[in-house]
Amino acid sequence: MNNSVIVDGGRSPIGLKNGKLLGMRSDDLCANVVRQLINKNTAIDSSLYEDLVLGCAFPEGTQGMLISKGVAILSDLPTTTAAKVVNRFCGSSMDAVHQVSQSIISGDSIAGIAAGVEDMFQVPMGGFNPSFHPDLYEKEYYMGMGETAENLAQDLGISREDQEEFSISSHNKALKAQSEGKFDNEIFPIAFNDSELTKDEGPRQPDVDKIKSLNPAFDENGTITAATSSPISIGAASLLLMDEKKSNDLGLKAKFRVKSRAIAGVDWTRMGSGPLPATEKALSNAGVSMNDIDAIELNEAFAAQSLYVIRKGEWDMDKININGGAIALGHPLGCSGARIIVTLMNVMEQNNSNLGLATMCIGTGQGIATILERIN
Amino acid sequence: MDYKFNKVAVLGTGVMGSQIAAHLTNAGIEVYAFDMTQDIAEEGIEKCRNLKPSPFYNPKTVDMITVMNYNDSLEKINECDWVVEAISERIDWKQDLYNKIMPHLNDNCIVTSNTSGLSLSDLSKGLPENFLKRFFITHFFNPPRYMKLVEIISSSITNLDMVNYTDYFLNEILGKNVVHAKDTPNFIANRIGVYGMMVTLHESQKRNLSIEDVDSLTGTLIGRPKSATFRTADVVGLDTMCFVSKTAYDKCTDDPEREIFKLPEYINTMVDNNWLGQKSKQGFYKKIDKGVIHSLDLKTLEYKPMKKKRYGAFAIAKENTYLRDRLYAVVRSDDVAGEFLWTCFARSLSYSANLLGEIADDVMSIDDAMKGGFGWEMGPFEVLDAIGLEYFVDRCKKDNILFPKWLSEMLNNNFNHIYTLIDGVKYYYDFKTKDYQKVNYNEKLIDFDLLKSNKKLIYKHWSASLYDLGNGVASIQLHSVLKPELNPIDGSMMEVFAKSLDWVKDNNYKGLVISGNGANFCAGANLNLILQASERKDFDSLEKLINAMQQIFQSVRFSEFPVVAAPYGLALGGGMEIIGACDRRVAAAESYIGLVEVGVGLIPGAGGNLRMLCNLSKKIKTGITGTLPLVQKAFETIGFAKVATSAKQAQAYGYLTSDDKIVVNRDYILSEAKSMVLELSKNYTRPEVETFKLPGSAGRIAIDVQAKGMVKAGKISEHDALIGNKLAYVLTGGSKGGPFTSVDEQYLLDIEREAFLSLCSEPKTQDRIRFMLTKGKPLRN
Repeated sequence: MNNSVIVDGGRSPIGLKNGKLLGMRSDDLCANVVRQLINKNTAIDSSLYEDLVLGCAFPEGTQGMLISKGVAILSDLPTTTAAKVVNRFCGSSMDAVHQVSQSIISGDSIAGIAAGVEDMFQVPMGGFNPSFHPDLYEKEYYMGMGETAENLAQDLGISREDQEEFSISSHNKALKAQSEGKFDNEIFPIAFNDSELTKDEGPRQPDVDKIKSLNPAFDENGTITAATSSPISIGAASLLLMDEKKSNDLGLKAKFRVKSRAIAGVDWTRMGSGPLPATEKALSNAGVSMNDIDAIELNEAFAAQSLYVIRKGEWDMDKININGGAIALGHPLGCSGARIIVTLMNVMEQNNSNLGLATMCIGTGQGIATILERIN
Repeated sequence: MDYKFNKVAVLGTGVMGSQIAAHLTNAGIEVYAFDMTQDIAEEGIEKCRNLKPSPFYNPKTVDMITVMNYNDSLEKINECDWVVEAISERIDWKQDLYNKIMPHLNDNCIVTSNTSGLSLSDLSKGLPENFLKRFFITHFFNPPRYMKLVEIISSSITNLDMVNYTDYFLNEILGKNVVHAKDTPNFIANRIGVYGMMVTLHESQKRNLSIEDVDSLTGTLIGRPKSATFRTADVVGLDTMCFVSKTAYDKCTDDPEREIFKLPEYINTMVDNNWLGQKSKQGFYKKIDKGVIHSLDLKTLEYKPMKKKRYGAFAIAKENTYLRDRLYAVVRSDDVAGEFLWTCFARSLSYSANLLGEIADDVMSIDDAMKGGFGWEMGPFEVLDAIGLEYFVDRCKKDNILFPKWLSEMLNNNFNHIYTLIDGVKYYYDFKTKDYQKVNYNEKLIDFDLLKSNKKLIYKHWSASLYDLGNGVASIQLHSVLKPELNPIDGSMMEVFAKSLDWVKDNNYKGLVISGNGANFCAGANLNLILQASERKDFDSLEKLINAMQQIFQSVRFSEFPVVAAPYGLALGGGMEIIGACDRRVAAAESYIGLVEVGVGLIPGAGGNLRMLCNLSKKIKTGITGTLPLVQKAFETIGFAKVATSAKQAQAYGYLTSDDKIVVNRDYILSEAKSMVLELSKNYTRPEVETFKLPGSAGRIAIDVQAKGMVKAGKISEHDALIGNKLAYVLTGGSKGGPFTSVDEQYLLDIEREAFLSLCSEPKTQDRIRFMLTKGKPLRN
């Protein structure tokens, strides 16, 4: 069986409400990232990229019309590059990585591009023209994400204070990483409207009084506030994957091997627990245990949801989201899976780790996980 | 010479300058707003943008103001056709600025000052004659968007064409009522207005009346703004009041009543204590706690809980719907309040009558100034007519109140009224010629009272009448017999609607206008009636009533001739449903339109939902993926009971369409509506029955999911969600809606009626209606 490796990856800074990326088209943003990534890797003949697999949670409006092929054209990829859009909500672009990896392993292709994008401002969560099924409504399939996280907080009695502490720490870690230039390696600057954005717009000095004063956002008797939820945002991320042997032949010195991939379904009213079974499967597929993992990127949809996974799975807090997570950086749905893999690679290099885990929960009750192995 | 104001420079971005700039953009005029530095100018416009109520019809038009400073961009003044100066009231500063701009003015440019305290002759001193030809005063009142008055003061040197064009522009483009005043201290409105305030202060002190009693006697009861006397002083600020009265005292040296401009001693003490009113958090009133306001005892200067006394005037107010009847009775009531009000009126009226000739040429100028600048419902001479001239003269003699001779002369010559209507023409008594003279109106003004006196009344009923506007156009006037200021819909109106449709058809008229002439077009249905029927569980008659309204409005919609509504002021609930049924709307810019039924636990019941779907589907025909966005927009507008704060905003909300016309000056909506009827009648075919593709249950659930989340988050109540579900049911097309089915108008009306009636039976809805009727504000339950 072939092995798939990640040759390189990068992402845009993540933009927030009233920020500098507001108004930029998703296809432009994503193409900008893909183009910079290709240009950074000139040793690879771009005709090798057989497919561009793009994750997007709400592929309509500016993200419609098979945005992946549009992005391929806008990034100056050759006409021979095919393209598809993957939708697994928040897990979309991690799934895109999985699909490219699987295609390489099976021998169907030699190299491909995985990417993710989401503009939550121009394309609203839920899409433009929602149409709901009465039976699913009865089964609470359409429950709001915040409410599902409130359920988890209640299940484990996760206090508002603990969630706030977790969120403050996410911001502090991200601010520290920013000031130490730790993201510089993974972010491509994006020029738009006469200005250039080089840093994530989310991280900020936590205003503790303000945080304590917020009303609950989803349940008036609940614990989750805007400060302990990931903010609405815009962003794109992309990775280059290749057959390991081919990469060696080209002398590319790829640094990461996709060691295992997994998905899992869970109760949709507790969708945030998804990372637990998904991780278990990924560990088992890789033949390793949680103790072997050196670094974890756990997507922070909500602090309550993250804490649920960490406590229930007895995960080591010190290994998780070293440079901060989505509560500070933002969670542009379809972009986030690729984004946390890019960040994980960066963190693993910075900390000289061997095995890393990227995992996230998915609305509608799923989890997805990827284990990377660093190649020395 | 032809003039046209395409671009206007406003000098000074303080309270007045910035708001004048804002109102110019309301009329679509581009503005250069100047101040000393860029920062000051920017800050001024930014402050203006955040003022409440907004100086802008649509906040976006702030983009039409280019902010500049004198140092960098003075030469830009060359592009402007009108320069309005509104800087601080210092002659030296103003003249400096005039000298600075002079070299940059284009040949036809008109320059006016917005001074309220300086005279034109003082401002003109030493300035070159070729500048003075184009220079005069345009005195706006605060807030300039909402106060109708602009006083123009010009001199014998001023170019008359320039004055006339500015008059036209202010009136027809900015919707203002222009009064030409003489160059006397404080001009007209402030002279009379400040005097009236001072008389009230002195006379109330004389009688030991409490602050709260004076305010309840001198507000809406006598046709003055709600803030009456002392609350107005608190809003304006006592320091400002001192300044204004001192200016009056210093300048009106020949005024026999001059001493009255000296403020009572307690006011000086209050200013020393920094009790300046709103700006220092205490004045005549002080907020002690949430919802607890104390008033100042003028003797002890201590704040005490308010205690309202009972006076005859309050009973009179309840018994008399119309202001003229109230005033007539109130001055004749024999308790201390009646005597107090009589004295205040008598002294103010005498003062106005005495100044006629000195500050203004005719009675209309004074009446119009007080109505437009101080928000009085009637001017002094109209009040005189209401009280009765003979009574006034007799009692003044008895009470030793000095009044000018011309008033008694008038009576001796058998002129018993200041104003009179004869055959559709309004006349005023002219003290110079000692005879009635014709009031010259703009030819665009159509007024129901004039029509009536010209025998153009076709049909009269309790709360609505039908008039002949001429040229084959008829008009319904709404005039509720119970609440003419709000015009709630009643059976009489419905009868006139039905009858008028027949009349226009039978007489082969070209079309129909629907309007009124009170303060508001129509504030909605008669809630009392709905509540009583609901409490009795008499849903059959309620259903009949709602059905009848729906059918009448549908027959307005499908009549064989064009029907145009001309709304102004409030058009809420049923008011919106009336105008929505018409072919077009000619709305006054100051129209406040909204479907507000949710506030009383209901949803629109007389076609409001259908109208919104009609309007919005017209608006978004292309570029939309599916029908839910349209429905969601209607849902949000109705569900949050949004009231538009201008006709422009009403277009954005979908209460008005882009085919509707907005007229800045309310006085002209009737004639504009008439023109529109004539225009539409040329090739009129009645509208086709609309069918709608609506999302049905799949879209409804999407809305319900949101509502459920909002209940959970504590943003709306369970009852709100229930109302929301019913509203969503109607807007998504009930059980027939769906991607492959169409629903017609009657089906939508049927499910709307059904939903309305089911909400009427809800106890929490009844609580909401009861609360609104007793407290005048919505209950959140």
